[in-house]
Amino acid sequence: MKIVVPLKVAASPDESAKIEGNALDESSLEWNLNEWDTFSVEAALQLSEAHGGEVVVVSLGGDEVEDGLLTALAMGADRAIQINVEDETHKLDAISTARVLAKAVESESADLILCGVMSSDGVSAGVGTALAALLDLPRVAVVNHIDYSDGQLSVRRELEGGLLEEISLVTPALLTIQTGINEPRYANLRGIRAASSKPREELTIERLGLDEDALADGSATVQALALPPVSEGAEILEGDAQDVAARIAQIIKSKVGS
Amino acid sequence: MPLTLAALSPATQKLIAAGETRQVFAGFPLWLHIFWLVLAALSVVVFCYGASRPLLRYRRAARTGLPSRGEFAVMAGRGLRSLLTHRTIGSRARAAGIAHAAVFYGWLTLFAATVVLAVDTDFMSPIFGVDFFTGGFYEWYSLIVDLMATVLTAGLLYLMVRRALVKPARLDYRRPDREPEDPAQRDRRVYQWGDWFFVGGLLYLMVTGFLLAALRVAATHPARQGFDPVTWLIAQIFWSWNRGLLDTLHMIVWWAHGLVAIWLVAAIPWSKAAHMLTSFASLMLRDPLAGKRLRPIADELAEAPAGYGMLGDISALHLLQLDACTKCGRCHEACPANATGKPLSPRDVILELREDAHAVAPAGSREIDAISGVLGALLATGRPIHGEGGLDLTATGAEDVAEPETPLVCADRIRQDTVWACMQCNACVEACPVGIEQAPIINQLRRRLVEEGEMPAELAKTLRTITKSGNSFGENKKRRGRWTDALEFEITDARQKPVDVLWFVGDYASFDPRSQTVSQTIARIYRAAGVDFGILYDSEKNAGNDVRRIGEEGLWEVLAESNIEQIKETQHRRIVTSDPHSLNTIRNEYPLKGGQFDVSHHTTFLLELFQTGKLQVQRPLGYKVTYHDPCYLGRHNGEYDAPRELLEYLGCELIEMPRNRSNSFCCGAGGGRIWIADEPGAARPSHNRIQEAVELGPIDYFVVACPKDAAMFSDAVKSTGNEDKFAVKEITELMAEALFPEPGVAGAQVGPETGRTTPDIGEANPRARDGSD
Amino acid sequence: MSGVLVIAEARQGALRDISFELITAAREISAAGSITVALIGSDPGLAAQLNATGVSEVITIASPVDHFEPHVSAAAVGRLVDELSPAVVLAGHTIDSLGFGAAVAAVKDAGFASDVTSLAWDGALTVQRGLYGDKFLQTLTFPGKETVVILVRPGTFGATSPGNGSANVRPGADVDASAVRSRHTGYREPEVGDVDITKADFLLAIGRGAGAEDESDLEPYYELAERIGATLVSSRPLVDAGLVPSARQVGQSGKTVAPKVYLALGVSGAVQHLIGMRKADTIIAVNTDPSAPIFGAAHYGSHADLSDVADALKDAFS
Repeated sequence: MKIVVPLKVAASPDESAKIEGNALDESSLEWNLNEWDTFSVEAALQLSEAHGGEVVVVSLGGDEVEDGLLTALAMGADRAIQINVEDETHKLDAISTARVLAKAVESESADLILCGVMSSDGVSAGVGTALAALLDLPRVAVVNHIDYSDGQLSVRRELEGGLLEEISLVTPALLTIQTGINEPRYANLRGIRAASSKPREELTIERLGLDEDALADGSATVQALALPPVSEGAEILEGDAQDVAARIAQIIKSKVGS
Repeated sequence: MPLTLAALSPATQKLIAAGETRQVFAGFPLWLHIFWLVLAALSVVVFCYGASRPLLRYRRAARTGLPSRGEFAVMAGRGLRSLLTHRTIGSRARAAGIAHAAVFYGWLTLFAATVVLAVDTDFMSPIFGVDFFTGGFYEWYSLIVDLMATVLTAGLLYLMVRRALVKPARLDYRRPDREPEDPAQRDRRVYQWGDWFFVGGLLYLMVTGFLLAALRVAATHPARQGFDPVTWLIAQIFWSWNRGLLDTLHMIVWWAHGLVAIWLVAAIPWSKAAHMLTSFASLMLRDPLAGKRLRPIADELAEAPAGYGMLGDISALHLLQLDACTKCGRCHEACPANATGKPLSPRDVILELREDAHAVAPAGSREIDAISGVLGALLATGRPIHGEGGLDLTATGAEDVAEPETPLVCADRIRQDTVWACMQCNACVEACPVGIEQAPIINQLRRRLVEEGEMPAELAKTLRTITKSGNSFGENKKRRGRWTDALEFEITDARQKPVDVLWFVGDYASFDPRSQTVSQTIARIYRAAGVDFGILYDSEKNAGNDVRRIGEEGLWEVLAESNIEQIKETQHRRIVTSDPHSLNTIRNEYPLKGGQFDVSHHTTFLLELFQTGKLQVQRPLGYKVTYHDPCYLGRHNGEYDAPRELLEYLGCELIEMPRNRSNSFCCGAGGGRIWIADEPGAARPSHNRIQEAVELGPIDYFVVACPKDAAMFSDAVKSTGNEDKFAVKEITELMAEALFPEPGVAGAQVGPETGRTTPDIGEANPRARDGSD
Repeated sequence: MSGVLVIAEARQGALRDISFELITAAREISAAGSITVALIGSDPGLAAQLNATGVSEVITIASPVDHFEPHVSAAAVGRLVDELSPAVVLAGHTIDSLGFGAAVAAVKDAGFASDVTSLAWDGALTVQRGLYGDKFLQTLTFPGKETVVILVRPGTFGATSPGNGSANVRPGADVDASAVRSRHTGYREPEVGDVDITKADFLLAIGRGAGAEDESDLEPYYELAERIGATLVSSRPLVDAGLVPSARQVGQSGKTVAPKVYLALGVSGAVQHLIGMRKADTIIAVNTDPSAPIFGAAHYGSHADLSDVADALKDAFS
């Protein structure tokens, strides 16, 4: 079976992060393979190890994307597709990202596409579901267990409160993968270096026949980025640990009445 | 008189009568003598074949770690010295060492004597007619042979008593990585039988040898006496027996002795006796940096998967070491994992690999196995084990050859739990009398597992964290220098300004709250001593020592390259670190990446400051303390004395724990174990060690010189409920107390009468934790 | 191009709170037009509850299957968008809606924002949502979009009271069986643990910041909980790591709790966690990171060292 795994290399701002216009200043960002996507790559690898097949990883963005793809290749993916996006526009929103991915992977005719539920930076949780719709694939969102046999998928969806729903569907299909579904394997650094010899295809949005400007407009326009308002709620308890503990003890006793 | 090769001249006959020489091959017809020589030659051929067979395996393996031609002479000299002094063999087992020396020197003497005799009777006399086996030479010869044979016999008897009655645990071959009923448990009784076969065979030769000599003496009644006292004593039994009977007995015993002797010579490569060859070779090739400097991946193997995954990956040096193991169990006994019930014994890892290596012996081995297999078939109950007493005639063919494609680490061989239980503390390497590199071999197994992404989830998480943030705490790298905020002064940024001493702080000392206070104390001491020092702030990364011990070679390279580059950009005269783990990799391993630095542990450096008078004790402490040698300071870098001398300067009375110096017992944090969860309720090395200290009787402090030790033992004292007995102190914490007795100078404040009150560094440090441990 | 379409959510025969929260949210932007609530594939009897103040129409749409099916929902919502041309479609940022919300937006080329925490209408829609674990707040607009699909973070808006409305309740066109592309085969109830954390008055929550790497690191916290009379709970990371049983997980994928006191040690306060505990009467948070979002939800906070506070607290209760 062929499994396509779209990946995101997600940004995490450090404590010095400053807002510049509608975005964060680039120098304060650290880029890492999105946590959810490590689980979807692992899920894909486990399926291909059990049933044979190929795992293709695909990602779009700037230079930072390469490391994420190499990490996935080092974990065991067979092939990578890197879609280069111009710097100013590479913060495509979820729907635009899905449009680009749809163009890039439709020719792959994958049996299964596995996305992470969401990314740690954008937290939209929209790419997978939008991609499935654009490719007209059946989908299940927030999956934490997969059984596969002969084109039949039997999966579990993780609902609120820990309730699980069991669902069956047929491939080709798209699943969005929840953390905790497996233990993503470690991609060692020699492996990541060696992974650069695995097949990698580089594409651009233009080559995919899409209009960058239209995509950049996307499904929403960022008006502002700000620090969240300081909450009035929390009264900060001052003093050393002893004082704090004493106050906490007092609050507990008054509220719980022990 | 039948024609014999040993036809005696009248002169010789006279000498025999006088007891100044003796007749060899007395009463042998020519054909029998020739038959004997043919047998002897055959046994030598078999021996040579057997001894050369492993060489085929070694030759197919990677050469990593083998010395170049030019180094061989030096190494041979070193190996000979180790062998002749029995330094390594006697170091952890005195009695067994002496017994081994008795057997070794006895055997060496008798072997030499036999060769001398053979040269005389089979070469010099028949060909040149020169017979030097007479007179004074013969007298000394007799005396030495007689005495050394006695010594050898005594040594053998001790070794047998030890196995039969003393039964040390290290010789029971119980495997900590297998339950007794485990189907993948190989029957290791064959090893015990192999041991008995070896010592029993030697004893048999000694007994028959003495008997033979005694029968000869009793038969010939030589005039000259006193040069073979023990033989003489035994000969008294037969003294008055009939000469004919004695001659017959002599002939019977001669054959009983001789046939077994040549058969045993032939069996050497297949029995425990093989260690005479393999252990010596291993000892000769012993790498003084084993475990201290792990070998890098050879250039020619750069494209191959790292480490050992299959038998074919094991280097020639390590294959030889597998064959060199004598199963003495010293590593088994020294191993902290084994001592705390974890499923690891270094000995069993070595034996498991050896069993597997031999199971895929080269083609054509079948027929030759049959020779020693006669006894082997009687002994062996399990799989064929070459280089051992046990060989199974029926199980040497291809039908039982292990699949060469089976990975080394799997349920039937070495299990993953076993590989990850190792603390890479090098206690096994240090204890091994024959130079086996147990810990580095385990490290090679880890390298492959890491390559395949197979490791405990916590470990993978930690490695990702280190990759991402450069430290194992997952702290933002910009916070690396935060511990200095609590100081009353600023520490020089060595990136900006030249310094005398570049302080490589390390992860634990930078981020662990307990160790941060120690780092602050160290900074105050350096300042008080007027040291011009600086740190790298956020340009420093995890040194990589433990990352490398985990087997993540690529990440180690990245960390080492980054640190080397940063260090090279500074101007400094020397590097000092309080972290033995950092010390080890910087000193021994950074040179592999082009980083040659003069680096010392802070205890070494501080001792210099005391010796040169830059630091002076204001108030001797008078505490009773014990000191724990950190694995990476002591065993790995040989620094045992500086901390002890410092304690003396501080006026502390040092009470040593039984396991000290090179036999120090790992705290359990090494080799990445600090990042792997112990099973709840499982025994922990740190608890075991604290118990050892408790048994010393009343002490004030348990002194450490390693940030990880401080963390591990502080926890252990608490969780074993020994907080009332003593506290854990990093050595500089005591030093601050002795150097700055006035409150306010560095915040140290302790009344001698209160003893266990700890210096409250928090006075000057608003963020410091309460000083109690 | 006017009006707000609310997609109600029901499970196992009952409407979920989010449905009533969405009606409240829709009322906040009532300037956008009338409020229509759609109930897809559930018992039409539930429609009466959705007939809340401010709702002008409730449309019930029958599904060919008994349980939520994302493709059916997507088809139904898509058709309603065609039919009603709403300016805004509101659904929950819930597991169900994650299965179809973005699909509708992609297919209809609509505006889209998820995990939205505030909405405003001033001739056009403006929304806010958190980024980077709520450390930053993003303001979005949707120029040129005739319809915008918004997924609203649960618990952000108060739930309106059910019924009381004067809406017209009518059935919509059925969804064709061909829309169905997956089959529900059953539910699995969450593991029943040794404790029922939803019943406890006093919870001690620990998070990633507690620095626990193995189960033994948690022992002091269990001890502390026992000492102070609390029940130990945790956020998702510790459950994912297998250190805490899932029965003790608080948050979106765990339990929702409302104790008298919720003492959070080292919990950063990810949205998913806050959803599960924000209804506690008193929330006390200890975390060394002053920017942790938990302080936004807490009533009392401290930036002191966790283990020091834990130790001192243990003493305070001895």
